[in-house]
Amino acid sequence: MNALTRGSRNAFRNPLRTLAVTAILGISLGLVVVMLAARSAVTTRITEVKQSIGNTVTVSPAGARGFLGGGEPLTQAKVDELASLANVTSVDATIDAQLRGDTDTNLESAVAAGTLGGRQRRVFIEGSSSSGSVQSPPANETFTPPIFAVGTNNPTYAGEMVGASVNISDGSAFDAGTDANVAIIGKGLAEKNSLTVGKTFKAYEKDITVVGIYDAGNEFANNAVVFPLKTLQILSDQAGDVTSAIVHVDSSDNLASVTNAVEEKMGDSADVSSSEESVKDAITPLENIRSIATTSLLGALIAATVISLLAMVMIVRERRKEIAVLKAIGASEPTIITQFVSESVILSLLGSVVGIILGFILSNPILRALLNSSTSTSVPSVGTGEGPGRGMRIAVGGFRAVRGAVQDLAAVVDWHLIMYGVLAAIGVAIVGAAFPAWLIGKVRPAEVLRSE
Amino acid sequence: MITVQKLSKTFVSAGSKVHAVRDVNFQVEPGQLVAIVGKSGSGKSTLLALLGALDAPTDGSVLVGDADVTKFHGRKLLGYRRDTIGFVFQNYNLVPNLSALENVMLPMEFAGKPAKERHRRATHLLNQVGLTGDKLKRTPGRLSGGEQQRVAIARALANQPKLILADEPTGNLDTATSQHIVELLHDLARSEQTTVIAVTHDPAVAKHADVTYSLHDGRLTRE
Repeated sequence: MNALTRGSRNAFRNPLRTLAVTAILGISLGLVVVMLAARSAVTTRITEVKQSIGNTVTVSPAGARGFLGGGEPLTQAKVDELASLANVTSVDATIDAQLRGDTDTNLESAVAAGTLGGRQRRVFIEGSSSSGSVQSPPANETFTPPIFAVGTNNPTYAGEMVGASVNISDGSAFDAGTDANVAIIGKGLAEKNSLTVGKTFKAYEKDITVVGIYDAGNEFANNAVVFPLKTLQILSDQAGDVTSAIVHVDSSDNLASVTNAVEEKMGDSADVSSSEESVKDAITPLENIRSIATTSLLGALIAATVISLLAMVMIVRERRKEIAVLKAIGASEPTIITQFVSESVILSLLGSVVGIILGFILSNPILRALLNSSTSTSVPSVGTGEGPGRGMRIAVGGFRAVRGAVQDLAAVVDWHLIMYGVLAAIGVAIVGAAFPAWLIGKVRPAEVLRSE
Repeated sequence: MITVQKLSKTFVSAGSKVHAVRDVNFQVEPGQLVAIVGKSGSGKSTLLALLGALDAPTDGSVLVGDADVTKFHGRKLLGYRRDTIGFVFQNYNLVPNLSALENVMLPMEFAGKPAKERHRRATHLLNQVGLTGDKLKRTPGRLSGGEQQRVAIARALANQPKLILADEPTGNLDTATSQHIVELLHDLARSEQTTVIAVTHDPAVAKHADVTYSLHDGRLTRE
């Protein structure tokens, strides 16, 4: 037997005290595990949110939002200059168009006009009506809404163009810089018009070959056509024009500076908005929770250390005479201290077992309570979009991210956390035994005789 | 040979000096059993603490062989307590959650002796003091007072010390058991050539002693 095993045995010398110390330490260490789990879950979610919202700056023509408003389109030359700004990784340029069934394309919209589509009718059939009311088209009039077309130099980013995540279910994307008469089309549009990969449809009196079919998961997005940027610029007679640009920034930390640089570069010709606000709105409640978790984690660690310290002080005081005897019969101070630290570590490890079990049980209820508390006190605003089109889509995406950021957030007590919990217990035991060790040093062996 | 010269210990308590041990001089031959008798508060325990280097004297020296133990510090002091001295206490002071065998093995563990040797010698010593069989595995709480004191004596002998210091070794025992313990100490002193210095109230101890000293107000006189 040595000091370590003697200390381990001493941990069970007084079963009632062992039980009490283990229970109290277990609660504190349980709180440590819970807060570690909450912090870990929230930190992971913050990273996910930042990635999902993206580090992007959106540039739109001043005064325009999609097909509403006015103003002049951006120029390709000006947009190209944005790529050379510091911390910009790439720039996606897009051009929007609406394909009218009667003049621009032989495609038939997969979405019925309905009452809401009647608003389009006012624009396309009646012209600039003074009436602001929404009404269904007359029974004898056939009207189908125009099909949304977008040209892009980054087909892999097509999801953002149509406001949903795009999964190419058939075929493939086109080359970024091509001006060929090709397109990828939405699933709904393909089914409505019996189009498959390799087939053609008419747009601006040209035969356009379908190279891919995507599924975006909603009717609106599946009723669109994505062209190469140059192709749509040429076909829609908008050569050199760009209706929006998305500037990709290397890090969310540089979003503000890049936004300023873009504003400076574009001057009054463009409205510039970034995903910074959306990111901020989404992660504010999460950062609140992380802050609470960090503070609670420190508090629980301090509490556990104080509990361990008080327990060990009590034990050392109770065994003062035994310590004096050990010194009198030749035990060195380090040997006695090792024995007591070992006892403290065993008590803390027992506490950590209780703590880990509590962590498994309480992590998610406590995280949920923190989420409810945090989200009820910080109501996020809805991003940067002000109207239909690109800005709106970014805003909707941001809002989805804000809502999604706090939904389905689950704390997981994995092996890493268990390891951290055990390390915390050992640290608590060692720090908690420091003062008792000092007390051990103060015990004089002569005390064993004086108290006889 | 143990030589005590002009040994004094003065405590300062509430501003006044208390002379617990005053100018004590004596010599003890190897293998002798020495009894120091005196009333409570006469300075017996203080004298024992000074001889065992558990406390430092105000003045004087304690020579064990040629070495003055009052000058020992650090490792040398630890080694002296561990290897040269064996303590026997009135209340036995065994570690309550260790068995009799483990209690006796303890000083040998501190001396760094191998586990097998510790076990062998502890068993031998316990047998020598009259404890055998399952009593070796019993914790102190499951042994009688006399048996506990036997364990304490075996523990004191563990590292083959030159000097055993016994503080009221029969203080908590009945007359018959006291007689056995005193005889045991006497026999061990003879057989192991170990010097035994016992402070006591018990006339039985004094009766078996080779030399008896009386301590009164810190002053030692030979009887």
